[in-house]
Amino acid sequence: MLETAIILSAAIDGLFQVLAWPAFPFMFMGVLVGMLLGLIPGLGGLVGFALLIPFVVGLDPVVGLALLLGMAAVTTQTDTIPAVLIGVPGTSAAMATALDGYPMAKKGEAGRALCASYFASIFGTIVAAALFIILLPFLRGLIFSFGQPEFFMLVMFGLLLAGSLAGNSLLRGIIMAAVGLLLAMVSSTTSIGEPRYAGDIIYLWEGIPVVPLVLGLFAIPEVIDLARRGSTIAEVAADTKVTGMRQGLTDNIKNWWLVVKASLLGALAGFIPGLGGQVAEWMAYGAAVASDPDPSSFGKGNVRGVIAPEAGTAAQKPGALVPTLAFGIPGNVSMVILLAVFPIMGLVPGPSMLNEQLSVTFSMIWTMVIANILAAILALMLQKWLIRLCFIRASIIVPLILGAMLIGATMENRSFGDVLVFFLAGLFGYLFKHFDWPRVPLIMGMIMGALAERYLFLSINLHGTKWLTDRPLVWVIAAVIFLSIGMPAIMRKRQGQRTKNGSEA
Amino acid sequence: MSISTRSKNILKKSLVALSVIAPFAIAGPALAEPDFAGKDITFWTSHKGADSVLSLQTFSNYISKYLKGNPKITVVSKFGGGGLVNANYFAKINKPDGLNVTMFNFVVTMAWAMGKDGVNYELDQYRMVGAEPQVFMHMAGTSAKVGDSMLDIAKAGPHTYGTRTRNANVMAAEMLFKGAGNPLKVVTGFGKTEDVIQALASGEVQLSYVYGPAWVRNEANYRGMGLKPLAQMGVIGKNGEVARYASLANIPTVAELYLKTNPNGKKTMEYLAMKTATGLSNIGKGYFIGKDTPDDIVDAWRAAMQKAAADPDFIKEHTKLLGTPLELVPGPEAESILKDGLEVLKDTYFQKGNDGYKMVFGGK
Amino acid sequence: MTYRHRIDLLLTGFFLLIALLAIIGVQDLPSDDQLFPITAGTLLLVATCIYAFRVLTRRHVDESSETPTILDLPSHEKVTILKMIIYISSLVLGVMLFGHLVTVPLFVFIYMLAHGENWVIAFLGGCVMLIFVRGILIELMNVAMPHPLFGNYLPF
Repeated sequence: MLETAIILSAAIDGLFQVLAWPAFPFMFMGVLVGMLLGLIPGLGGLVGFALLIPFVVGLDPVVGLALLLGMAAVTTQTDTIPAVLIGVPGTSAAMATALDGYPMAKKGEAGRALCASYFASIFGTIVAAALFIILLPFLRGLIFSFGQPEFFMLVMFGLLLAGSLAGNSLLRGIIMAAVGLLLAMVSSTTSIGEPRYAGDIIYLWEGIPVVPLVLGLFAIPEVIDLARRGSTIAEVAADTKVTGMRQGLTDNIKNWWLVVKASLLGALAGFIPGLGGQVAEWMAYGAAVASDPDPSSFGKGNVRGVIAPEAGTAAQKPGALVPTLAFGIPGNVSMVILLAVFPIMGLVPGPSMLNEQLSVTFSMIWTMVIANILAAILALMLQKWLIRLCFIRASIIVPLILGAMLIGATMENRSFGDVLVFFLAGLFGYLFKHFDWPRVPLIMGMIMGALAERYLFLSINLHGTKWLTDRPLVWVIAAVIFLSIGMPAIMRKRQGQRTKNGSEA
Repeated sequence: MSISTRSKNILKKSLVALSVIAPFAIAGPALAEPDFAGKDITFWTSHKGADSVLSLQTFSNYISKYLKGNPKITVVSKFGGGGLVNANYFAKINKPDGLNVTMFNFVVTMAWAMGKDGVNYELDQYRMVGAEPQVFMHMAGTSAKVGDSMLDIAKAGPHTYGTRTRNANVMAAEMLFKGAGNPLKVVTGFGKTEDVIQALASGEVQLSYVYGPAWVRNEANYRGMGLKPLAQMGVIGKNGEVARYASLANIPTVAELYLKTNPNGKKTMEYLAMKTATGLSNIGKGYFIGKDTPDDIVDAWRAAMQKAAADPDFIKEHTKLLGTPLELVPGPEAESILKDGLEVLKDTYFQKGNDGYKMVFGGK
Repeated sequence: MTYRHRIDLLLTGFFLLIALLAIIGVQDLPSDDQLFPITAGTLLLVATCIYAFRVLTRRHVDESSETPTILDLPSHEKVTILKMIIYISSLVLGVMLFGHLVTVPLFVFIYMLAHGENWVIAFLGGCVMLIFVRGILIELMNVAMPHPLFGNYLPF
């Protein structure tokens, strides 16, 4: 009871700190920067940190963090805008959103897709914040009960979800997932430090970079097709009034369980160090596909394919704050940078962040929630002009997008290797798109493959085979996998069998 | 001697002296302090962490203050390949004009000396203008319950050491365990330092290492997670032997512990390897200037770095930003440590295919 | 055999080759480092063989099997696709030879002009890119753009 009172009191304190002067205007500034960065493909949160860190030196911790987190929280809010309007994800965390968001825009439902994504982001952040409050008393025990075997099982969960994203042909999906796994094997992180599949090409020693690969695979085909159509992005005339706001909200409410599920998955992915934003996005998307009565509708403009990844990605951020603040273990790459900034602010991650400084911790969580709401409001206000982007001539938009994408792709390693990966991925991506070879399992295989290998080896090297038998959490996750993926697949098959028998009768 | 003969001798000596001095007098302007006014200097680093880049940029701002002309110095990250990308890139773009300076970590220096694949730079052609030490510390996790000393742990039996990749710190730990008569199982493959720390705290691995100043900054947090400091890699003291790092004065060095199990061990290759690893990590962030850079530019950079490091405003600012002051090893001293280290690493023990190489870089 | 089937077989053959190379490529590594690549390589090998068999024997039928492909498009659209590939290739080559700062703004300018935009809009487009690369990336964020092949001959 006392603990609840302490937590609630800190939560209220934290909220007032964020809404007070000068934290609130700094947060607003951060939101504006974050919105701009999310709009430009290839940039995103890390670039934002690099830009803003010099400005936070000397600021009060709450104010400085309001600026930084205000920026970081919303890049994945506005990255949906290019993802939906032009099929080019603003950051890699909007890839899944583009799969259904862009087809919605082509059908003239851009407003609905965008609004659904804004509200999903808001709800995702709120669910993650609520989860944080509930889990606060159990945090330490929770995070240290996860070891390499548990991480492996979580990654397998993500990989198996990829199987539900194979589109029309399961075999092609398996082939692409296997290719993704092999691409993930390129690197120098072998047990003997010798590069695998990289030879003397130092560029490949850190592995094939994901950002240029994703931009090439998904964005170049869209740009080529846009040029081929030679008209505008929207293939259907759309109402240029701000439409879809109510519908976007209704979509979220109608699919409330999906929002909660995706948010929980996202928060979990953020909470577990080493998984990260892309895993959150795809786990959420995969969960939406796996649980839908009509999985084949995904990739063709299903609003659930927008809601789920947006909620998951948004929830991942407050989730990632938890291990970062509580234990100094960064939940994702952005948190690594945030950790480095803490000493500048006079903060030390650790038990104090969950005790004496709990209100500062809550101020960070509140910043993320409020920043998302602010960004959604701003985006809704600018919606009319944003949607007009759909009607700009291809001859103007194509070269600008290509140029921006190429630059964005180069930001990963700042090397011509990135440019080559981008180009080759683009050529293959075009082929895959038009001959129905699903690209999503390839990316999932690549992202998850490296993680899966690492965790599997560490599990075996550290525990032998006992990791399969002596760790209850492994069984719990296995059960979750079965319930989320196996059961719906079995039920769908039985349903199909019954329908077939019924029609035969 | 007659006065005339003495005068002739004096004249001769004066003429000789003049002939020596005159060229310098005539060439005076060429040896004046180099002027960097209006120039842009790039300070390359292989680190991409915000605190590392921030530290270097802050330092660079003060270096600029002490370089004639106060040039703009920008820190640029060129990460990848464990530092090799930056090193190979520097090899391509460096010129003898003092406008490009780079940081090489000690993996880069060891890779060159030990003939690792992928090295396309000529370390012995560059001059060192300074260095920062990187002192590492071994620590125990929650499942290493035997004693507070790494030696007690080594004597107690086999243990597991978790790390991202093999390196000289791991080599030192292995040698200590070998000396104590027990194997150390090294498990590589962790993604980041934080992953290892979590594994230590959850008990999955028993030992690992961390950057010394990071332990000092986060000690309360780490101890709260159940981690304990065991042994440090140390610094090279004034007597040329391994000594304790001032900020970790209560923690013994691995070399000290090794000598407890092997009192005559100073002559062994293992001890020499530990000492070399310590020496090279003492210049773990080595600052190098381009090939064939004239001495006056090198000296100007060295002097500017030393003055910057001693600047009270810089010390205050750096401590405020990063929690600790910047420790600079002056250029000539750094170069001397490097030379000694590289000399030792020429031994076949450290070359590819041999034990020393395998302990540092892995291999069959 | 339709174009779709031919492309399917081509891609399948390509992936089969990758699988074989992947398995061979790790033979010199310790078993720990072989396990995952060999598993993934074997999975790829088996899946590609089964798929190739099904395509060749026409047993593979799914929703997309009989739908037209880009190869069935009218010739002017095929030409557009080819032109786009050439444009993108030129952009990539230009960036590698002359760097982002020169190539990207020039590309935007030339592309817009070539596609019928008036020179003012094309010029503005080029300027936007120039400001983005030079102003924001290089000056403000100190991003080290990669050094192009002819970088030493450029005045900036």
